[in-house]
Amino acid sequence: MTLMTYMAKNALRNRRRTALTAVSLAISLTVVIFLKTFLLQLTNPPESAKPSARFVVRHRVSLTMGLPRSTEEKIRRMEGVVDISPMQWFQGIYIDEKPKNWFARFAVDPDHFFNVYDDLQTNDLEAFKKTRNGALVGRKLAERHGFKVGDTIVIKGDIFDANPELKVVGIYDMANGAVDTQQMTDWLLFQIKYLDEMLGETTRVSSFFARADTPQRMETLLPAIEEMFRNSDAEVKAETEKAFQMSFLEMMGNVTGLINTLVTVVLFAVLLIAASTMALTIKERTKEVATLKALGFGRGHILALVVGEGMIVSALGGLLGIGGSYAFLPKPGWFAAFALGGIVAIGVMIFMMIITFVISETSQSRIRKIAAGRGGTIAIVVGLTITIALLAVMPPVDWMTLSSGYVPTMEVRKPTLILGFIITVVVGLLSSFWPAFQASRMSVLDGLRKVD
Amino acid sequence: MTIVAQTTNVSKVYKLADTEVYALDDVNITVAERDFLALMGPSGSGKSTLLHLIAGIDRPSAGTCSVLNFDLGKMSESELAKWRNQYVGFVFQSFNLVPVLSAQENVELPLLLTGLSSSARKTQARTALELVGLADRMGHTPRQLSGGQQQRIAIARAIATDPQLILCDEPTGNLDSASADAVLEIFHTLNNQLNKTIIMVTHDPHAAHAAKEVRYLEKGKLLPAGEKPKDW
Repeated sequence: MTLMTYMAKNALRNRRRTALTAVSLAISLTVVIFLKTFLLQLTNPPESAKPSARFVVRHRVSLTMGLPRSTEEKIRRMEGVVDISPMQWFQGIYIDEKPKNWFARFAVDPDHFFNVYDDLQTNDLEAFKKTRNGALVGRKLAERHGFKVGDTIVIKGDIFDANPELKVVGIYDMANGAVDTQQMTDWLLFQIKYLDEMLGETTRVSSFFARADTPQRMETLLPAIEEMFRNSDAEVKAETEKAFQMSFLEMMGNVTGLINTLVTVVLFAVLLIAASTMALTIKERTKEVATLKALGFGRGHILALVVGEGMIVSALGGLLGIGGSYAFLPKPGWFAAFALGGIVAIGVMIFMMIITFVISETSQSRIRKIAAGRGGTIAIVVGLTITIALLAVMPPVDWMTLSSGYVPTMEVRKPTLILGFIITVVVGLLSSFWPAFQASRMSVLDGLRKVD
Repeated sequence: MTIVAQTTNVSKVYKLADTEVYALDDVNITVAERDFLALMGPSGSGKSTLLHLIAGIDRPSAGTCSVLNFDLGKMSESELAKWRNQYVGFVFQSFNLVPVLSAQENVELPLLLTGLSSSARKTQARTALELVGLADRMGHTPRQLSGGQQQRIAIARAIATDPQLILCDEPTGNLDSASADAVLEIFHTLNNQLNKTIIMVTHDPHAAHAAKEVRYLEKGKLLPAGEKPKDW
């Protein structure tokens, strides 16, 4: 036996209590990882993108107030501008309004778009340029809907009074080495000239996307662009791509603040649960701690033993919460099945505990015997059965469909995993430190006098 | 004569509101090597307090307590803990075994602090268990053992580090007479064959009879050798 074995045996001494504490932490961690991953997915493209030289020009007042097309040429002529393309959000309806049929549709200028988006590439650009109603679809979108060259895609206009009938002329991918942080390969692109033609006028556009020769250039270029259009009938706002995307988040209110507040509340709650459990556990073992001290265990040993025990319980919860989230969060069907199975299992376990408490220990009730002896096993079996049944009947779903495109994926990334690990360690340490400190300071005599 | 434990003018005073209660009052006692001393007396006479002072788990209000040439009053908490682990074995009335550990693991507990290798710890624990006649119960948890067997495991734990001094606080108090006899027999072996010095607090005259010497305490005072409290 080692001190570690002793700590582990202590941690598993009251298995039901340890399981409930670990599951509380696991659930809290799952909530935290879910919220943080969601937040990261919303903010990550702008926040984590490599230094980009791409910028956006739009109407100073609002995106809904379009800019005249003449804006494009004026900006293109400025020093440091590599290229610029109109990028009109078309919206519209494909087949129906079900979330699974939602994807981004943009009207762009094929002569310039791929110069601005140099992180995208296609072998079908010439076909796109030559085909009036041609459409290029991103690789991910093509795979999701099974689109292939020659297909016709009809979009029913809602913002615009036009129903483009688009012919797929090619597929585009990310350029070598580029990372698709904005789900760009889930877009559909078509020619803005075709939109003009359908509308019977050269339409004003909500935004122009452009690229500067260097990221540093934007420091002087963006104010110069705004200055050029000052006092015109369409004053512009020029901003980096990152700032542009962040402005969408701002429209949703202080989402970051709200999520971080929720995370803090959840963590505080689980910390209290874990701390009270540890305090109770150590209080029950007062006499044992005193015995250890009488046998020669010093304050440091007692402190280490109790904190170690807290860390083991916390690690069990962490492993369950972080591991489960990492494996199942990207797959919403799996995630829902395991979450529901887990909730039912906890419900059954609580029910069994109620039976155990309600029916007297001295009674010969068979139900009580089963609840007290096999409650945990029954709860696990019921939970797993429900999980497996749900997995069998649940239709395949993805986050893109569920979130109407707002959250393309819920892959748990490294920073979130590290956060989960830190939370596990901090909860383990904080929840056990005070009981450990008290135990280490306890008088041997007071402990030995405690009546079991 | 080698002195193992010696108290000099030791007093222990508890303050209750404005009154002072003397748990021990100017106690002088000397315990020599290979002694087997039984401390007896009525409840509240101070015998357990004296044992706790000799074990270094309590400190006197006055006087000095020297055990195995260590002046306990001058030692810090951590020094006392190390000292106990190295030189003193403790046997409690209610055994105080760890319920989730097997008999062997319980005996190994004090050895975890000694720096011995895992295999050496196991060997030493087995030897201690053989000595108390429970080598065949090594894998049993306390719940699977009788009271007498549990106390024998506790004795094995007390001698696992091979201490010079064994302190026992009512070791037969929770046992039936057969189990008590078995425990006293082990103490006898430890004292006579392994030269351990034993100080035992007890209420039980039968247990005290097993000791080489019996000393009585009354109202915190150590009575002269051979003298008993009134009405005892």
